Amino acid sequence: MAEKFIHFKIKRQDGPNAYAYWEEFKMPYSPAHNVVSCLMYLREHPVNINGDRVEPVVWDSNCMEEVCGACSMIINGTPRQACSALIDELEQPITLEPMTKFPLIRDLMVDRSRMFEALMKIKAWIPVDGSWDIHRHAPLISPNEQSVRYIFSRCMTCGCCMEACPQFHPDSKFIGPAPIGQAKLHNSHPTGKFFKEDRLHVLMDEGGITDCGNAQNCIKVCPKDIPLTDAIGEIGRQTTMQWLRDMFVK
Amino acid sequence: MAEAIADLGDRSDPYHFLVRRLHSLTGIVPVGVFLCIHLSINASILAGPNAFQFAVNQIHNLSRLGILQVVEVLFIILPILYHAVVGVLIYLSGKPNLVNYQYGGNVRYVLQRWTGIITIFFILTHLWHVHWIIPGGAEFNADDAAASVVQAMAAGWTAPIYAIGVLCAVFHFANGIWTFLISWGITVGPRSQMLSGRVCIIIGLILGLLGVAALIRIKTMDLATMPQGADEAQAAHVAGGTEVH
Repeated sequence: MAEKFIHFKIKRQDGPNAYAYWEEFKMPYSPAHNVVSCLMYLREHPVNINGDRVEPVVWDSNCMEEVCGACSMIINGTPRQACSALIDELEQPITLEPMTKFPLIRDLMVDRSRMFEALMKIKAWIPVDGSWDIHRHAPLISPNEQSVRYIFSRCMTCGCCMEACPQFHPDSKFIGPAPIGQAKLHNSHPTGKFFKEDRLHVLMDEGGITDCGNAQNCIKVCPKDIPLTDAIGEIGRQTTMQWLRDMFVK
Repeated sequence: MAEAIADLGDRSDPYHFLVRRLHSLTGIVPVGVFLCIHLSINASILAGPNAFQFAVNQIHNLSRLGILQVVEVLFIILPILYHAVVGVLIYLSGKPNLVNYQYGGNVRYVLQRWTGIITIFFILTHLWHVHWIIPGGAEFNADDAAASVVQAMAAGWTAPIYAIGVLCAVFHFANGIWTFLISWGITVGPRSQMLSGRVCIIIGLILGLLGVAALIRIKTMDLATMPQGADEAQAAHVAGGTEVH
């Protein structure tokens, strides 16, 4: 019986301004591999399909359980997490490409800081209620509300929604779907609400909610099944109300 | 505290939200409403030349009041111009990726942009063809509506161009209602968006049918058998019960 292989076709680039090229690798098959564990094997055995020893492929990863968002890449055409991409479920040759919407550092590694800056812009946190005893219990949240909010809290800022969004690209100011989801999440929190108006004003600026084109690709590719289009609709409603408040109440 | 009172946030473009939301709104009111009225009046030709003349007279009564051109500029030309200019900027701001992501929503995203651009060219063609902007086109005569339309639409190129133009405008409007409802936060969840989608499909089908049926009727009408000239048109006008003298 012929030996089984795992066959990769990887889009590589030696640096931010270098040319991109495809390189193929074949490694011995063993069951239950995922893309990150394969890349680890290729790091130890950086030999391409022609038998040449090459520079190991560079990629980013951390948690290995699809919660940190670091190992996003385009696997067989779909943006997703490399750690949860199981080899046994993928068609071969497996193509790996870096995400295209973020500045490329090297090979499969991109600079995701634009997303973290967006989270800071929309104040994606809740104010601490005090480092001293404030003589009050934590605010109550209904189980219903909690279950809706929990789904949004699973966002790991992986960037898959932005990779698939036609309105998000290096030349656009669009903040992207994930931070809009986080704005909805934090606006619905009893103390997170204190910053609601600030968040809405950021999302009413250039690159905010109005730059969404309603292609709704975000919800299709989100690895955590976050209903991002609900958040976009909800923030659309909240900004409409904020706009009216700004016009008539202020 | 005083600072917080008038604070609308530190924005790079304080008018961005207003510009985009007005773009969304003008697509429905007045431009979309105008499209519905226009296609309905066109479709009245299905009931015969006299019914069409009657419908046209309802609109051109405004010119007897001296406000037709004011209405045309304020509620038709300026809103369409605004919607088109901002729309082209929105078109240029996106990078379509239909090749990689073939989802229904993404198909509609691309169609919405293409139909918008085609509609701009169609409107310009239409204005040249039956209106006053550039000489050389056929003339629509409001007092001799049916005959002058049939005459203007006699050329062979008009059938495909008008069919494409009308269907693009109708798709753009129907899909635009769907995105309008999302943008303004009226339909938030997937269920409401699915239901509004169905209503928009029905609106689109009705308007598309009206537009195409009127076009087919005009292309198959015989000039010889219809009332011609101002006298008969006036007779039809009076018979239609809209005497204003």
